[in-house]
Amino acid sequence: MHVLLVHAHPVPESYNAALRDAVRAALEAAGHSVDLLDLYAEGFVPVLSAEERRIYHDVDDNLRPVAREVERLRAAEALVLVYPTWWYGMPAILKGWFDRVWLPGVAFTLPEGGGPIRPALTGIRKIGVVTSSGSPRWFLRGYMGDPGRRVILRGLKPLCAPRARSLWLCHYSMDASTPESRARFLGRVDRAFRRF
Amino acid sequence: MRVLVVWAHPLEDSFSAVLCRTAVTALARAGHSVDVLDLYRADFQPCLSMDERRVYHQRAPATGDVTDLVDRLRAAEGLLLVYPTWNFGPPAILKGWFDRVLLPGVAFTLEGGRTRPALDAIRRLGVVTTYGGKRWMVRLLVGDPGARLVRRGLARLCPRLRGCDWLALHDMNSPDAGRREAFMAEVDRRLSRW
Repeated sequence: MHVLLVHAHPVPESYNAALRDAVRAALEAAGHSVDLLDLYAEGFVPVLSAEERRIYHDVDDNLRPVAREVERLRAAEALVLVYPTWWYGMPAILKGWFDRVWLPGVAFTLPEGGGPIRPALTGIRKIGVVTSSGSPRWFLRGYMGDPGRRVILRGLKPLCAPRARSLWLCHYSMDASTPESRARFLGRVDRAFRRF
Repeated sequence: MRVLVVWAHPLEDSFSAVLCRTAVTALARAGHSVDVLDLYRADFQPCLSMDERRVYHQRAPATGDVTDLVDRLRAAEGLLLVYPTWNFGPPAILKGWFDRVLLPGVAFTLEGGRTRPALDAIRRLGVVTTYGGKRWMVRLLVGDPGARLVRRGLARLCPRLRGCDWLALHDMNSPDAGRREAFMAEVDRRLSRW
């Protein structure tokens, strides 16, 4: 499969960057081709501009400001996101990638005369997420209801292929993590993406 | 009461701009002093930088434009967020305000692995937002992640909170001027009571 791997962390030597590298190596070892979109390294601007907002619903015209990113998204048969969970969800730079690139005519279509939106990224058959959270699992999942997971798996995955599969891996309690817990999670990521 | 209004929309002729003006007018009429933080016109940069991430947990004093934004948040007794819901949450520019301004030592403290609230001055919290999708879809299918962020995540960091006003207009993809007018009236009414 051709996999678009989107990474969102500002620090090159971070644990999150190690997770990105582990995902990439495992996918390539399994024979997949990987297109790495490193949002910070590529200087991605996450703010939907006034001009973009004005042409937001003009299908085809609307993708011109982000034509390259749209092309990379449309080429993907699988999407993998690697990011730290900040404020219960994705960092602003990744949120902005969805705001600016998952456009009408690209990710979904709005039927004439109203009605529910229709999926347009039907070439994407699988979504994988690798993230970490300072909060423990009971708090993020149980109390908060994991807003970040809801956005991706319930809100955005329906824009992909009808029965797109998903893989969600999270290192909870990062604030209390140890070298052992981090190594264990890296191993889990490696194994999961070799079978991706 | 001093109220910080954080607004996030790229267009000054948008419905979001109308809602922001409606809210500010209602708050001012009720006798509050209102500080409007217009993230787009302030050219706020939402990406937590490499340097900021490195010192995130070090309680270092905020630097650059964040210093001013932290001061304005600390001065606030009321906090109102006005934004369109995009992809089930706040626009990136507002998400970045959370990431960069609501720092350890500002919004919360971490003590022995536990989060303690630190937004001690805030007594009222509110959101004015719009959704393209229908209410049942946002709530039942997706579980309204945007509301969870504020009503559970942010509200718990305000120990003196007397209430959270969640004002949302759904189904914006099906335009209906009458519903917009009614929503503006509701925003005016609810914020007049702050």
